[in-house]
Amino acid sequence: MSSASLIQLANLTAHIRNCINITLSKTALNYNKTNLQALLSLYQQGFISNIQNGSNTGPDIINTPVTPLNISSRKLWIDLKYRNNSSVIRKISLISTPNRKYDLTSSEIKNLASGNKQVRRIEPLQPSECIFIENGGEFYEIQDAAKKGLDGRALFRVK
Amino acid sequence: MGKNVLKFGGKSGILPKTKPIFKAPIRPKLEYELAKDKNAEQGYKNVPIPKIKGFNKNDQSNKFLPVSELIQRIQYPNKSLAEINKIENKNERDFLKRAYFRADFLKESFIEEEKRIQEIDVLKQRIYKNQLQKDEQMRLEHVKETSSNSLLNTLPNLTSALTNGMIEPISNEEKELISKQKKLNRNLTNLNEKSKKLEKLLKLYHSASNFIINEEQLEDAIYKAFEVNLHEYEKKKSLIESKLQGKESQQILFDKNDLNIKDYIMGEINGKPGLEQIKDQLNGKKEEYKRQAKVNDM
Repeated sequence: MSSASLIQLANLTAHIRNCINITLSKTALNYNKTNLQALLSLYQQGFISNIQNGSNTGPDIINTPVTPLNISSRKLWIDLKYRNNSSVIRKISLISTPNRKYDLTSSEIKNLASGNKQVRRIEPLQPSECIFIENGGEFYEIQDAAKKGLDGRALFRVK
Repeated sequence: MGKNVLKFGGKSGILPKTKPIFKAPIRPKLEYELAKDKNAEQGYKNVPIPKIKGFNKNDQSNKFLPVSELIQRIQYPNKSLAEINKIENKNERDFLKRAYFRADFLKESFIEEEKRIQEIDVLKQRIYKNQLQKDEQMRLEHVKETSSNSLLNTLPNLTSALTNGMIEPISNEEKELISKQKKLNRNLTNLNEKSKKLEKLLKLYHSASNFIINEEQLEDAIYKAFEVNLHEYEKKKSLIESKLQGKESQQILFDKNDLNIKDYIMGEINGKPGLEQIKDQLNGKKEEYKRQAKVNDM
């Protein structure tokens, strides 16, 4: 059973695409579990340089706990990476959408990770591309998921 | 944007400030208030704070006016309720009765407000003590691990949020404090709504004076509607002509605006007494003003 919200993910990917188009260095995203998981996995793969807690005015300077009183103003601030005047993230898009969800078996994930075969209607994995899989409420990069023999839902791909 | 969203700078979840019933403090400053005063920053370093005549910023006198004293100041009528009931003159009896109940209600509201403030004080004191403990704990932790790298400071916190929960729960005291504030806010809005309703009712009452309620009035109205009044006809004709020429239309508009402004200032509805005026009459304030005016004239 997956818990990540595809709508939140769609907003996240669209927001990052918009930020890259105008070469923003810092941007704020809503403070929720799906966004945090997605951003942490992007950070682990080296697509963004930093994640910080903050409010809608900017990143926190002193540590501020998140409580029901200030939740409406809490944000996740990320630093986007650029190299030679171009963004490190070239493409970021959803695979599963709310009305077309790809729940893959472990063999399908292995096929997709190998990059040779097309799985269902998902385009094969390209070099320097990451696909993120959700299994049991946690996000895995597709190579990790294939190594561990996990099944799960294909969420989004980053290049 | 929705209704009233911009009222508080576009921020949601912020309660408006409530009007205090007591203008002066009713008890000496508590521990948490003194601590807050002590930590307040003002002025510049090595520059003494300028002294203004009749006003001292560093006033630590901690003045207060207890509720018992406030209650003593309330002026009850000289007679008791039983004595008032025996008065035969209706106007005088009603006036004294209203004065008695008004004083009684003021006393009751003072006591109620004091109780509310005391409850809030207990909660705030408890929150202050908890905060002191937390600060001490934080200080000890901070001494243990100080790092200049912002990554080290934030990322472990973020990853731990996934396992420990995204939101820290608030304490029961804080919850109670919020609910109390909400209750007060609700009462205030209810009061406003009720007074608005009352005003509308009064407007309806005033307009009811023109309603046709019996056959004679109806016949009269029908007769008037179909009667050819030459004088009225000429008047209307000239008015329409002048309006078409645009000569007096400005003047008419000014007159109407004047009437509206007068209504607003005097608290009236189309020249008839408004809610505030009626309240003053019932309070006995109008009578007081009249007496004051007489005294001033003499």
